[in-house]
Amino acid sequence: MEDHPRRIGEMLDEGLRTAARAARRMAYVGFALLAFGFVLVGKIDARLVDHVRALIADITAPALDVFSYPLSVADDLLQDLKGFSNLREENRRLREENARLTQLRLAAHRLQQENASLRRLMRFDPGPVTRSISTRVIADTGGVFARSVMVHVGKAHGLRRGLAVIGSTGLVGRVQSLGKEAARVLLITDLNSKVPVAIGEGRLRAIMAGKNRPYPALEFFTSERAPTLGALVVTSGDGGVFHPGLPIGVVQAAEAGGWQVRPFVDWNLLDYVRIVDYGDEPSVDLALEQEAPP
Amino acid sequence: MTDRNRPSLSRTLDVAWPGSLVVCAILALTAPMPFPPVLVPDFVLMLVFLAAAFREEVFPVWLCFALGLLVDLLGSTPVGLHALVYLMAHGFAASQRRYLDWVLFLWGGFALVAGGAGTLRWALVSLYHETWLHPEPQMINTLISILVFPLISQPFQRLIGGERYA
Repeated sequence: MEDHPRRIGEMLDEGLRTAARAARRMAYVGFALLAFGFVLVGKIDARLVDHVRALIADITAPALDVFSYPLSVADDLLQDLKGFSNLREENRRLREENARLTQLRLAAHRLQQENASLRRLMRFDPGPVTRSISTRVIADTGGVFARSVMVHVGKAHGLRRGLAVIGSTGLVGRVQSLGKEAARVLLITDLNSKVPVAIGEGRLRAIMAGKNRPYPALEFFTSERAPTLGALVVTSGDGGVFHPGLPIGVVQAAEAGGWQVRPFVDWNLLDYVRIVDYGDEPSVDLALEQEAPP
Repeated sequence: MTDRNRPSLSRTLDVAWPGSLVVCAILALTAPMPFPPVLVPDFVLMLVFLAAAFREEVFPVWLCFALGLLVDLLGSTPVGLHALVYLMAHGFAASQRRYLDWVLFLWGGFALVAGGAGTLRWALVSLYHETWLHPEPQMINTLISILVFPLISQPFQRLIGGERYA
């Protein structure tokens, strides 16, 4: 008789355990379906995802700024240490470069004056004036299958979608999505990046397509002519995607055949970038706007 | 009210710790690195796997799902992909926890999860972009993660407070 209540208790325990296991299984299935639903929604409505991503970027940007800071400092320190080791060589190189640049400055000054007088003569309209802002890269939002970064400037600093982003040596990408205080930059190496380019002195036209690899491919040439190895690749300005003439890299042969671009930008040293607006607004440096009191 | 049920600061911290640690790891690992992202082991997957195996009572399924969404929204993968990946890791680790006390089984278990996660990522991202992407970067990343796992599984396990429950 004493066993009876105990057996009822055991049966109840067993029942509860079974119910808990079933509930857990249901939770996994439910959340998995929900996750799959999110994937489908993202595929159908990319703008909605962009909007939510911009919101998350705004919220997390201050934290990302903090987390990326020590690494940025360590990287700068490492570069400084590397610089110390060949200070003598660097000094010699800079002296030579300084002498060369002095010559170039004189030539540039002469050309500038000549250009100004020719413009006056032709009543040339110089068009919109460039505005730009420099910023630090606070996050690598790409990963294994994408190439993008996040910067800590957004709509509040006058940015808009599609603006060109350049590094110290060449084109980096374009502003893809915008929050108030942060923006995502789609790099030219990303699979979704397609840039109309002009190659060499002959201005051979083609499309530079990102392949998620360090070197974007050159496709859809407008001419039968093959590009010259080492020729300069710049934005063509076709389609209004980018301002014409922004340097990107040089032509090199691809291992699998065809042609690709070796960008001037060193992707592993992408600490600071400059976002440039070639729009038709008055000449105001966005960096100055940012510092000005409200 | 027993001691266990009584809310206290240390208990609250203990409950929030594994989740907070994974959030910090997600934010820290999005910092720009001086080398390609393919070479960075998937530390977040390791933490999710270990937290599900040894601290499941404070690392529930919904948290795992939310962390996956955060990774997707911060990164560039389709939103929901990492939620699926982490749910899979959580389900496996939580159901096999009794075998995962053995170091070799823990490593083997993670290798299975990392392999499954890599395949799922590659397949879903390829379907999403409607083109078969090169699987090599994902394979390299998965391999690096599996090789690095035994070196840091013990410190990570201690960090999430898993050694007391193992």
